[in-house]
Amino acid sequence: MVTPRTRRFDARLDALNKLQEFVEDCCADAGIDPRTISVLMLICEELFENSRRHGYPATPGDSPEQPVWLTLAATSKGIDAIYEDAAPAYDPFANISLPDYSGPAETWPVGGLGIPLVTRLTRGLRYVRTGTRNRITFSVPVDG
Amino acid sequence: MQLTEERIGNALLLKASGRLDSNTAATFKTALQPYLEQCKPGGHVIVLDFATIDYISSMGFQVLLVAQNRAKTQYGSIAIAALQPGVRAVFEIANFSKAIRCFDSVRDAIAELAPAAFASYIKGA
Repeated sequence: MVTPRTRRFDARLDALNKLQEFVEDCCADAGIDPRTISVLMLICEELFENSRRHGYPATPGDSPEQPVWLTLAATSKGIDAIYEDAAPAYDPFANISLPDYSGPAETWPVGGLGIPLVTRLTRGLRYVRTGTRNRITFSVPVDG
Repeated sequence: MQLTEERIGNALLLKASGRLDSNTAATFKTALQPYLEQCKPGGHVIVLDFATIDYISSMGFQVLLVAQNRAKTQYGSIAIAALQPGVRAVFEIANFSKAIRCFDSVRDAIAELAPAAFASYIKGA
């Protein structure tokens, strides 16, 4: 039985390193391979950036009152994760698709890649609104 | 993030290393900017050597797309070479290898995009 570890972060760019360190620590303790750690870091960065840039109401600069929570349970088989923020209710995965790069280059969207990436890198991805939080649950199997 | 440059004829080889994520994307964009000005016919083609980039997120992709858009408006060429397997996998999953030209090696990129510089590159390699 793995005891999940939860940590709170502020949705500020300077907290991203701390979130990445938390991911690395949890995975290293469970003996997760570097490639899987990298995938989990990417997923968490994209969710974190989504909260920071789009989830919370725009305020001048980064506000310290915009928390996110990450819970990780890492085993040798993979990682089960819960990502939460306290932004207004919003399901980021509704009607999501990868940007289309098939047309003329001038029509390609510059952004909008992060959340589609999350949908492709995770298993069992699920969004629910629980109380005042947006909760996203997912799993990442170990590589190979 | 720093870029190291190597000029080989009309090819400009820019080597980046480390992580290309939300923390470093802005620095990478700023570092790339002066090189993009000369990325046009009569100037140079840009080959980004990603052999030592070990992580990329969507913020990194955004910078690459903006750089390519700039190059295209100037009729210039920009490409990425030598992606590590894990980074290449993210490019494929993101469909991003359809957005920007990727080559297996710097050698392949220069051979295709800057054939006039290829002989010099081989001599120096």
